[in-house]
Amino acid sequence: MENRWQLIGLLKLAILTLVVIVSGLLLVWQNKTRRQIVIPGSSASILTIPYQQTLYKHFGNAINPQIDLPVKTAAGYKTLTFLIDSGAVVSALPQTLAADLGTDITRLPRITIEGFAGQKTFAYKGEFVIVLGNKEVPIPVVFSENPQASNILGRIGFFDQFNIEFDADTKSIIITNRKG
Amino acid sequence: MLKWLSRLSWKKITAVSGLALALAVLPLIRNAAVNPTRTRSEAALLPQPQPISKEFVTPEGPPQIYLVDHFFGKVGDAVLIHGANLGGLHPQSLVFLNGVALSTSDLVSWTSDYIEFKVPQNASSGSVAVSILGQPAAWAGTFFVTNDTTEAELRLVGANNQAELTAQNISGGNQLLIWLLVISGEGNLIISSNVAAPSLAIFNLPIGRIYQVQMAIPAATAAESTARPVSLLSITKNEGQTFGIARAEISLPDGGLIPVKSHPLYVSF
Repeated sequence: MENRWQLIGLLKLAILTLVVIVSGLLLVWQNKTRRQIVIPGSSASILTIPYQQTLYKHFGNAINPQIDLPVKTAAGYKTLTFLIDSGAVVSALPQTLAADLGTDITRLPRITIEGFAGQKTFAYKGEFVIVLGNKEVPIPVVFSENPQASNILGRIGFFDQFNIEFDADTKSIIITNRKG
Repeated sequence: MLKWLSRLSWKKITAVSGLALALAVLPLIRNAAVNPTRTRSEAALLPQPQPISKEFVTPEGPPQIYLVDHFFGKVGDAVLIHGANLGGLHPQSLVFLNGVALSTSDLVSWTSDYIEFKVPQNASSGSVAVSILGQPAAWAGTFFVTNDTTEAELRLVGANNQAELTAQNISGGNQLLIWLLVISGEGNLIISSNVAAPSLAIFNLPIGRIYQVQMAIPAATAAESTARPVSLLSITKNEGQTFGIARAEISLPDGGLIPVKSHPLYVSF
């Protein structure tokens, strides 16, 4: 009976400690998934992005290779979220972003682009500038007329200028400069 | 401290623990809320190289042209002819722009359903026609070859399912003919005008529903368009609907047409 209040006190202390640890771990994990580490340097990783999970209606959770990058606009730099897509020949942005980037698409060559379903959409061939590893990198892009088009980083100008590694061990995408 | 903790009620312990966990989970909930469940791949609309199709599909009837998309373009711009019974690339099949046959170097792809071409050097505005194994077909509209000097422009400006069709630099124009094409979504467009009484005809093409609007343009409205964009039509669409300008012609009193371009061509707001 003498020790009962001590046991209750210890139990409550343990519960509060556990809550603090769980909350702390949650906050640390969220911070880790949000952070993008920029390490300037020619040979080291210039950007490491933790995997992001997306819940797909028919497939459940899957890796979503998304990356937040500063993009040069007419009014300074603006961070856009891109899907890294090795299946895309060239990077793509919706045409609604062209004006923000200071691009007059009516002066750009008009082409058609095709999705995997064979659906053709018109797009305009241009260029935009991303900031990667403290460097401005011009990237060829098509501005799609499809209002639902995503921001995509494709092969030309991105995959051929940088090494992009999907590291399942560290659950991250690592972008490095080319060795050559 | 143990004594103090032992005196602390279980209610308070539960409340403090719940609050701490809720605060820690809050960013997770926010993250889940702003990342909606996706029903399609983000990788749609991948730009792909397009070899010219050389497969010839024997036409089952006379060729038809439903639409020339876009109805304007500068030299080098891609244009799609949507139709039926177009066969495929064949020595006895030709595409004409304002009566001039396009060379193979200006053709990008050719299937039974569509032909893609690039506006050739020295091209001029006019009709778009095809001859498939000697059988002709022409589009009802006019294709405009534009350049830096093309000033007449139509714009669809809108928000909350309400759009205004505005025109700029159409001085002298006295008649408007426009096709509004609904490319996705259900329901009818509601079209009205503050400047004149539009006449409306609705018909369906395999590519979508067309709203053909014809309207006289008051001289004062056309003259005012040189100073600022003037509103010609008001269009109300339904939620989730996307529509665009599939054809536009602004006539002069002598029957000639003002070369016109449009931007953006399709709107979804």
